Amino acid sequence: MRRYLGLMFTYRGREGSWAFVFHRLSGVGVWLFVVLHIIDIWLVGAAPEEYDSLLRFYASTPGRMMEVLLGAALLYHALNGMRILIIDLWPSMTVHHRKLWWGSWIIFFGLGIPGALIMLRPLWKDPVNDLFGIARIVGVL
Amino acid sequence: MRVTGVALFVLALSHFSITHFVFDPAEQTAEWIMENRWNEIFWRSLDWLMLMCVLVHSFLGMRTVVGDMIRAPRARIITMSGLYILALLLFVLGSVVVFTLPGIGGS
Repeated sequence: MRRYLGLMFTYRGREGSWAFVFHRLSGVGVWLFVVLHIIDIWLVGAAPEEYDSLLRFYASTPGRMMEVLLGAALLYHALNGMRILIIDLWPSMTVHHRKLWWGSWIIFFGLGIPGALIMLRPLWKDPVNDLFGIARIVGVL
Repeated sequence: MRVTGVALFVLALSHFSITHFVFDPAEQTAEWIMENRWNEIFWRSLDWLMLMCVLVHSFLGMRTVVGDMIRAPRARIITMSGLYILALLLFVLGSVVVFTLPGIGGS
C-alpha cells in the first residue's frame, strides 16, 4: 500500500499518469458516495423521516460544499473516461492524448464553475437557515 | 466498463443536473420524490437502469483498484468477497425501494 502510494508520485509519466491518478481518486470518491446514496434513498421507502433529516444536512452549507466536490469528481471522471473511450475507438488519437486531457480540463472548468455557482447560490442567499441544518443533524436543535 | 461508462455518462450526469440544477436538493423530501419523481414508471425504470449501470461500473472499478493494492491471498479473498457482498446488498436495497415505493400513477 505504501509502495503503491509512493509510486503515484515518483513515476514520471507527466500528464498521462496524472490523468490516471485523478481518474482513480475520483472514481473511488464517487463510489463511496454511491454506496451512501443507495442506502439513503432506500430510507425514502423504509424511514422517510430519517431521509428528510439527512436531506436537511445535504441542503446545509457543508452539505452543499461536499456536493460541489462530488460534482467535480464525477465531472472529471466522466470527461477523462470519454477521453479514454476516444483513444480506444480511434487509436490514431493516442498521440493527441495530452491535448485531449487539457481539452477535458477546459470543459471541466467551463461547465464546473457555473455549476458550482448554481449549487452554492443558496449559501449567500439564505446563510442562516443552512446552519440550522447542521444543528438539527448534530442534535442541538 | 465502456458500455456502462457511456450509459452512465448520459444517465448519471443528467441525474446530477436534474437533482442539483433544475431543482434544488433542499426541496426533494421523501414526499416530493414520491409525488414528483417516482410517480411515473418511466422515471423509476430509468433510475433502476442507472442503478444497474452504476453498480456494475463502480464495483468493477473497485475490483481493479483493490486488486492493485491488495496482493496477499487471504486479504484479497476477504476484500473481494466483501466487495461482491456489498454490491449484492446495494442491488437488493436499491431495487426494493425503486419497485415498492408507493405512489405509481400520480396522486
